[in-house]
Amino acid sequence: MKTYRSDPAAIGRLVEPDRVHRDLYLSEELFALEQERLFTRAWIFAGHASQVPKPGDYVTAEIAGRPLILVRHQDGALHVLMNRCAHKGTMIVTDRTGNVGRAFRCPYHSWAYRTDGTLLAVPNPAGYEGTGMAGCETGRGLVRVASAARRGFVFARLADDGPSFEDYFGPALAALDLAADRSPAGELEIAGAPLRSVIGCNWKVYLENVNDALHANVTHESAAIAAEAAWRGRGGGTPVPTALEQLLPFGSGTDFMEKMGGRVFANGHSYLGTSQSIHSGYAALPEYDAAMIAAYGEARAREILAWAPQNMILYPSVALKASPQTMRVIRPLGSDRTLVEAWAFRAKGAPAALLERTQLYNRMVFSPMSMVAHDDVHVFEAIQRGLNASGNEWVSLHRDFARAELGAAPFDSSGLNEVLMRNQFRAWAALMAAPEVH
Amino acid sequence: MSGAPRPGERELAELVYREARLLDEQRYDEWLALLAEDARYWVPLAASETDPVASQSIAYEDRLLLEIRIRRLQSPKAYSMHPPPASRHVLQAPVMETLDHAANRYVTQTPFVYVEARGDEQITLAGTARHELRVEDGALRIALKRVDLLNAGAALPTIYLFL
Repeated sequence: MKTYRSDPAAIGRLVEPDRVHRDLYLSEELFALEQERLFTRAWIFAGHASQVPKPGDYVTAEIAGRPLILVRHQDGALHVLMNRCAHKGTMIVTDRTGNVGRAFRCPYHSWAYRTDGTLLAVPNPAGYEGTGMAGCETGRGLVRVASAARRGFVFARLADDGPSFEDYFGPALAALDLAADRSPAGELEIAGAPLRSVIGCNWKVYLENVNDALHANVTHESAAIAAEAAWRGRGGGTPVPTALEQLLPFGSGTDFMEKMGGRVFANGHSYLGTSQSIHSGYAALPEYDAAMIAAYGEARAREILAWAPQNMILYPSVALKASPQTMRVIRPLGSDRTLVEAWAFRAKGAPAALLERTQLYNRMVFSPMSMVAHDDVHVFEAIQRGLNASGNEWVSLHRDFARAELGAAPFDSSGLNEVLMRNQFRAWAALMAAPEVH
Repeated sequence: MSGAPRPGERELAELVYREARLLDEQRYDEWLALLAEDARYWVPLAASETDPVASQSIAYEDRLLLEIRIRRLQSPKAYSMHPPPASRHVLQAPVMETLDHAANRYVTQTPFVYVEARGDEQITLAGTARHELRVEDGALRIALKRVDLLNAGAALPTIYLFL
């Protein structure tokens, strides 16, 4: 039987210029190849520096099925290490966060590692004298993987070689600046734990929806209508409460969504909402605006505050909003299972009301109990099952397709142009290419 | 439910049972009528949370948001209601934490198992519901329903109805 592993050209044939084959979402073999290729070659979000402020602080994460530790070393440097004892393979830490002090110690035979991963000590070392232990992988300690940070956002690349952090994200790296500049101190901090939801769909269904402005007033009609009716039932008027300010724009019309504007970058990254978004109309917080103006000057502060895109995607793991200060991290669990984490950021130097706005948005829109997400999840899971139908093996991405977009990046589009999704799949095909044989 | 101005343990427990039954039977208007005007429904992300505004929560809703949630559930455009989810709250006897007539403050803690079925899928969650109650116009009203899930911080499946 032909497999995608044995027939590398077959993977390329799944991504046509204006449509993709359903196997991208359904195939177990492709999911395994994604874990092996795409998620090791791409730079994936590992954690945020604010989660590990002191030496010895760590958080754990999983990328491409590999257990990882993001830890702050004694010298202040951040390292991403494989969470696997060099001896027998035990995970060294199993809490989601903690502080390990000066060294990790394995609970099985007490092998100890410095927080840069190097082997510190093994008990009864005489037993290893004259053996090959020190000279092989085991002697090197915890495997350290490539990591890089910008404005506190730490990304890891598991593959030994591949594009540098700067080359991989290119101009889209500015997304992190555009988010962090929302703080009067220029710094974001993770606030609390994430909301974590498991959805019964392929991760690509979720990620392409992040760039789908056209679904909002269809899928979320029930939430937008309910919000409007409840407000009208109470007499309506202005100003509307913050919750409604966040919910009502989900009913925005197609014209509004089209004018949002989009921009795609090489390697699958994108901004949706380059000129406006459902977040543009939030009321000013005078105390916050004053702090921003004091920090940046009037002109620059206004420029930063005006940038409120729908989503900025750092493909394939991050969907970030500048306002509210929230980030979703997409973590694939299987071909038909995806974990989505919704994180809140505290903008250093901003009043508490700003963080409250973020937390309100996260629980209303990204929580497992979200009245907005419920209809999304329904659709995502219905796609995952619907694609098993026969007679049409393709998913349409035709809207506004133009030859001129091929190879052109950055490329500006309307908010409804499916180039925002096509661009993700082109990156997918490139990251899924068979390894070169040396 | 008793309209007694000084509710006893039996009245408090009856209210907790009735509240769960109204949710399971999706009698939402009657459920809303049990809530005080300033009531809050809170599902924190950790049992240690004390401040719903300053922390991330799975849900923290006032009457307006609860009304929106209910209107949406009743809308023909609520696609997630197809197939319609159904719930069952299985309650342990409530523990009386506070019975303070002078302060008009009554608090119960009720361990529960929550089962939600939708189509061929069924999820089971467990936790403790804390009801903060007071007498208003001669009737017991819910000022706060706080639901602490055992695994609130875990990767959770979609919860379509009310815990």
